[in-house]
Amino acid sequence: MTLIHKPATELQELIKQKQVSSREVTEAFLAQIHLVEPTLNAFLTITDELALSMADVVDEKISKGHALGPLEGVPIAIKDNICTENIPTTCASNILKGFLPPYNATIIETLKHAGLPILGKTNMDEFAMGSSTETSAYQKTHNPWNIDCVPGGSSGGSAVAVAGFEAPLSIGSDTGGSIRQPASFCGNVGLKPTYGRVSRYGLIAFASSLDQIGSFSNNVTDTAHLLNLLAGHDPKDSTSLALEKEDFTRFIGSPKKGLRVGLPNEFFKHLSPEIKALYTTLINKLSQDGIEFVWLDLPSIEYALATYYIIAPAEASSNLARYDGVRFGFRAAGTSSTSEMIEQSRSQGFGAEVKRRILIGTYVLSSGYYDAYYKKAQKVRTLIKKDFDLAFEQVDIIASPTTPTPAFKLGEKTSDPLEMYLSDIMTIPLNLAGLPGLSIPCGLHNNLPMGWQLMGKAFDEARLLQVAHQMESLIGFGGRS
Amino acid sequence: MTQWEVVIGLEIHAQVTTRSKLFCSCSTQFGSTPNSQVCPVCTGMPGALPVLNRAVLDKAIALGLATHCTINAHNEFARKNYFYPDLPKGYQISQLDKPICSRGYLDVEVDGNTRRIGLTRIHMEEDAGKLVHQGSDNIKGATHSLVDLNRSSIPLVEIVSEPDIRSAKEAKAYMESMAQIVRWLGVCDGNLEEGSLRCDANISLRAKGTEALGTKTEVKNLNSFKAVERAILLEVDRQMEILEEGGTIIQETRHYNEATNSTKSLRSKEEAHDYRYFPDPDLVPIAIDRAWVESIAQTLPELPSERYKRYQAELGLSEYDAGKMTINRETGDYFEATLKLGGNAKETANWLNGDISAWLNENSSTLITSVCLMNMTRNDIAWFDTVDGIHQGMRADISSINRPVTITKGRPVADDDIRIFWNSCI
Amino acid sequence: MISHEDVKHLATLSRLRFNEAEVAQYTKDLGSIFEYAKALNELPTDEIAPSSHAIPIENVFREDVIVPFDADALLINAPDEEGHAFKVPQILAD
Ligand SMILES: [Zn+2]
Repeated sequence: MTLIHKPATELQELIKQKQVSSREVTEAFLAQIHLVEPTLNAFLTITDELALSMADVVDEKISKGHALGPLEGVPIAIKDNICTENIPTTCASNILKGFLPPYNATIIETLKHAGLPILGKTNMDEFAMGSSTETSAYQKTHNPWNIDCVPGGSSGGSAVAVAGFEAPLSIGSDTGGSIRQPASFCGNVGLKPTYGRVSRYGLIAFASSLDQIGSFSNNVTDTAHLLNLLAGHDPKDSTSLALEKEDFTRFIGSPKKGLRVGLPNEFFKHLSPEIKALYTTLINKLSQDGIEFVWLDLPSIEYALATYYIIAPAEASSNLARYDGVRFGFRAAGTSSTSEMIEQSRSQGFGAEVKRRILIGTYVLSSGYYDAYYKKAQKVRTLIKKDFDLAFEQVDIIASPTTPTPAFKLGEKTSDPLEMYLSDIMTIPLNLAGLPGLSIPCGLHNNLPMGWQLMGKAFDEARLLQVAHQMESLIGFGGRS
Repeated sequence: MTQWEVVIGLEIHAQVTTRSKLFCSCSTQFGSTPNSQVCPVCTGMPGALPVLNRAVLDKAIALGLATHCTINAHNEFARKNYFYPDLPKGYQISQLDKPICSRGYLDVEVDGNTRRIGLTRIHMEEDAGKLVHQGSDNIKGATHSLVDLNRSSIPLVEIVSEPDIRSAKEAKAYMESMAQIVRWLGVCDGNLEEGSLRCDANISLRAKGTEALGTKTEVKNLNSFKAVERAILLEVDRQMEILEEGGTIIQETRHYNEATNSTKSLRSKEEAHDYRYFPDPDLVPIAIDRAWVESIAQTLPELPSERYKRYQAELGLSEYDAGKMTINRETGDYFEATLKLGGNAKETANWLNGDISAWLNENSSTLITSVCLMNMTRNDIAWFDTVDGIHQGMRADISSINRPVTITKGRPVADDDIRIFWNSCI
Repeated sequence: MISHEDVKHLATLSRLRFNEAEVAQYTKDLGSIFEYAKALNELPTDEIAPSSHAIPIENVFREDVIVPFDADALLINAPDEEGHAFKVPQILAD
């Protein structure tokens, strides 16, 4: 097993034991990036120099005999909607081409402080609006399992970075499944923490009440260690919660006894017979291993997708009003007035999917439609939350497939937006309820990975990770080599 | 011939006096260099997030209490969406259906009568930036414009009155009373020249004795007390003329030009305005409990109207003197501090109205800018025991305002006292 | 239920400009999305309070303290600049 195939915690162990330097680890991943990028296109910006200089700082620390912090020296890739000071941050949009943020997102400050060399910025759907990374204005990212397939989205680049062994860890953001769905398509572990767990300061907003930063990694243990770094209260984000620091790895390795896992009927309704059979086999296997499953109903879940496609575009239409060509980003040339300049810059700078969502959002907020659409959706959101609350009175964890199908072909769903939106049907409810969830790989269908989504109570990530680790061991997914 | 009744409601925007802006930690000081007091938040940089300045909330509550409003236990911020180059986020953070204060009133003295003007609401919002048009004095004919965001996210309260005002004179008196109160409370410095107080008027006419409101026009840019009065007079005349000739009033926004004393329709074409307000998901709701309101109530000073009555009833001042001594809080406090030191009420009022006022005028100063003098008395580091003594001391003090060597009946003040005194001024 | 005129109005409100083909495409897209969203009307919600956030938090404030920021850094991305200000083309008075 070469360096790039090792999980993050193992790499750090090697660095700590001076068997390998952080620079050597970082160089190995950079080499892999340069090797596979022509095929995979996961990165928009590769920051070789920054990564190596950060690695050197860690190595110097080791040479001076200083102890390393958690994951220190292990490189990481960052989704391109997270502001990195003086490093291009584009949201994969032409409207932010060449944009150099004047500040670092809070989590970037955290990662820099923690000493994780930053390898680069990863491709995504434009402004995180999409489920296949195909709406990127710059490039199409390919799934390493089958390069004719999409990696999922919107954090497709970050998922591929880990799946293609270009990075042991990566950061994504999840508004409606943008971490869990690509993790499922790419066969790795993707975590969306509870809303408010990780600061959003510096995460370029898509839908503020749904966006949450999370991670991709090769296994649950790495995920838990990375969450230890990412989680925490940030006074710059009013929606970030002031909670006690906790160790998310603390339950890992001690399987929970008498575990009750809820299976919502609604999530299994729309599966094809083959996919359903795959999950039935999985559930049977886990039952035999002593996990108790309980079927339950989340009746309002059927309305989650419609609710999401009102709330998210509404917030997006407002969040994206700041792209007007006045202070930063793309400005259309040759306009004779400011209003023409604004209109042309936006019309030329945004892609079709972003425009579509701006129109939807503008419509549902406009006078005469606000109550019927936006307010109605906010009320249904309350119902969805209540359904989850009730369910969690009976069970510790809720489980479901992460996606109804494995990765689809590039171009397969681009012509029908509603069809594309349906691929998030399993992941969206959790964002509306603000709850934590993750996807772990659980098997193959047509040689493409499928994901098993685990959902937890608010701020119960430690328990969620414990159960995920337990199931990960039982499933024994081999991965791709 | 129809007798017309004038119906006016005023919207006053007051800049809340704070060190930092409403949603970011930039200074609120009047900035000279464009874009020198800005950060990612108030320039609308991607990814930046607002966090509410608590001081603004406290001051808005104080203003609400002083104007007999209900302080709403639950209030929240909403986004008002529209595009303009001075609005960096493409929306203004304001309050819509859950403002901080509702249903209050202000008693205003007009021609010896007290008129009670209802307040619909007071809400908090952020200011926009400033546009400087180049190549021409105004927007028309300008070759290009410059966007300065120093004012972006400066905290404002918008005070919306009921349509209870019945004349231009009443409107002016209301505006003056409101200016007095916001200054008195320290909510706003009341500086009209720097735009700390701005006013828009909603004006309509109706036949006397009828209930239904006529079509209103909104007159904007009323930036002095005189402007309020004159613009309303103009607009009332204009509307009356139209109505008398059997015409109809068009609902529109008109811009007042103080230099030419004229108003002009701002929008000829009916532009679609749809602000698409919705609760700002980057901010969280505000819950104000009784204890919080109580704690603010306890810090409220005696209000000018209360003092005005007390000075007449208890100190025997004339209406004129009582009015002068409550013109602002500094004068009132100075007046009282002087009395505490043994002054006679009438004599002290005369002295403040006379010599001191003359000196302040000569030196283009006010008791507000000479704030160190106020602190001197407030902190009881005044060294005089007669009105006469204060008189002399005051003069010495003012004339050496940068280094107050205070004359005290032949005893020089120790350096330590000066240091303590200065520290108390900052 | 969504007309071409609706889409044109939405485009004006959101400062986007479309050609006729785009208007037709978005009219169709929005139509099918709102047709799908109609399902929400099946749910009775008269007694339900709307949620702006899933996780209820309230009263988050900062103290009134100045933290200076390097203002020059905020102008580096300006598409056009003059005298430390963002320069924009002529604003038409309307
Ligand atoms: Zn600022």
